[in-house]
Amino acid sequence: MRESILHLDQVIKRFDSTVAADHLTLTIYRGEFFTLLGPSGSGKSTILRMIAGLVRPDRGRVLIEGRDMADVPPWQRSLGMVFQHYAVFPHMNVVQNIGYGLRVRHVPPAEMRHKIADLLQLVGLAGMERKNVTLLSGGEQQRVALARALAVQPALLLLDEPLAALDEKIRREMQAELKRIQRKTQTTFVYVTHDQEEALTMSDRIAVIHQGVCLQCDAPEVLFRRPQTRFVASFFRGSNVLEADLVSVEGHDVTLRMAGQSVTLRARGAPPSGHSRVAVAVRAENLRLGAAAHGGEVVLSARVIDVVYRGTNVDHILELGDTQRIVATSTQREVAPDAQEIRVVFDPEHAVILED
Amino acid sequence: MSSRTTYALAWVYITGILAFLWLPLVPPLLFSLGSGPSPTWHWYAVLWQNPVLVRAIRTSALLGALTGITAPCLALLGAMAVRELRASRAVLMLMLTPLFIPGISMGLGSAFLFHLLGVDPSVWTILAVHILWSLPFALLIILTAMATFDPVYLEAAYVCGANRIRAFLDVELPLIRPGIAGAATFSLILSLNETVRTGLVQGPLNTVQTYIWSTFLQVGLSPDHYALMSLLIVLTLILIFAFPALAGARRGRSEVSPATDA
Repeated sequence: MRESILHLDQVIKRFDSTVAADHLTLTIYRGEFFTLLGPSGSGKSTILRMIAGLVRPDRGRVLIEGRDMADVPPWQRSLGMVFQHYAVFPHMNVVQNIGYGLRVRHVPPAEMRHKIADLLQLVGLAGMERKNVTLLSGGEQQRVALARALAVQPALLLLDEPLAALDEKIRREMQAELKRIQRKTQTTFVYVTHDQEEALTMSDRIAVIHQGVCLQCDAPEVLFRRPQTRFVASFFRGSNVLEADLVSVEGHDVTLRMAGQSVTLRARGAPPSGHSRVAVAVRAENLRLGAAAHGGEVVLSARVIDVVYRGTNVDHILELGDTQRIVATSTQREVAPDAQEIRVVFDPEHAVILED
Repeated sequence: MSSRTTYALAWVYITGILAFLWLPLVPPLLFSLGSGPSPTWHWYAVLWQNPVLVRAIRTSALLGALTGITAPCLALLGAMAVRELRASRAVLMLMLTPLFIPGISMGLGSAFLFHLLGVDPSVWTILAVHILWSLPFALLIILTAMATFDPVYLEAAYVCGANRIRAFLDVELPLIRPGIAGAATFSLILSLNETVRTGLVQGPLNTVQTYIWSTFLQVGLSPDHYALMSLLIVLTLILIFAFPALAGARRGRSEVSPATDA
């Protein structure tokens, strides 16, 4: 049994016009890389700030290592936090920044020097001890901030879009770095991002947050392949959400009418009920074009609207008989330049019936 | 019009402004060096032999120091309270508007209030009106400094384990220090140069300003007064330029780390 380190219990937080947390319940386990993923304004940063104690929930409980944090101020929560704009103290040098938490805790100087040296090594800043932090690059400042947060060996490290302000190349480097540092220190990371790729790359588990509600909380592959809701499906690039009419439900076998075609899918969870329309998610890379269908596969006919070259991939933008648009991705151009009608094939295994 | 002409015109204009601003200070400076054929420091030396003036200088220095310390401290607390309460613009305006109330009204009002309260004029009544005069300025300067301070630094300090007081002392105070130094300088200068309000609550005491003013009214000015005025002008300029620079230098020095030096 994995040990829970953080538990949010029915947490509610409202601002004037927005909801940051709506009866939110989440459990995060020791040692995992947990990501809160959502668009901006979804409430994910506020959730993180409630964990840190910088924002007080309207209702509900935040438990860290089983202890209710209601009356515990941020400085007594034994956390680390990394902010989007680094928040390294501009009047302190690299070592002073990293050692700040240790200094506040009155760690003896010798031990402090030792720890700081280890941290500098860990985040790759050895030799920069006395540098003025305001002269460092964004990536370096974020490394300082990370070392400062890790210095006190926090039970939880909270990261609020730490890479969002960095440029693409540095961001990719830092993703790998963060993952390496997380493994090495075996610290529980709670990571907030709006970047789906970042979340998929680094996380052990991802919670998709929308309007203060956790829509789905799963491992990256599960979330990516088997989204449960329309919102989660469309949040990941390359998802097609198709509307279909519900024909019949027999046990877990669900028969649908999709673009004039009868299709039978297997529902993973509870089969849909009470709706005559359902939404089905199929990933763009699971749609094949033109190829002959094997037995049991779904074949739809479509019209080619556009073909977009994207380097590694080619996106084929298609229109089904009922005017729904879908995208099929392949490693190469699959249709002749003058092709009009084309066949789209997918395995029913790859289609997911969404809950809403 | 060519850019060259514009350039020249801009310089002419700036020169005109500067002449207008600084010209009135030239005659006292010239007359303080005596009216004889060769300039002399005689009138500067004579100043220190005037016991009334020396006492006034002491009083002014004491008041300046006390105002320079008290006003920024009160202003800092006020600014923090404003931020904590997210006080409305109206409250803020109420705190700042005493700036615009005529000195004579504020002075007479204060004198009357002291009389009602049975407080006799003393150095403390003068200090009260000096703080009254400089506090809104100090508040304005510190609010401006605090507006450029990002509270995320405080949050970072809290999460590092620093409580409110510790975070304030370690992080916010060093970062807004230039603002506090500016407020202290301003308060000191405003105290040294205040005349009208002081004149109405001074009682038996004189500050340098009330000394000059009353001598001017009673016997007119002599070259030693010009010398005194010149000294005050120079002192004010030195304060304005030197104090913020000193504050900056202190900040630079504090960058040597207690952690690395340990």
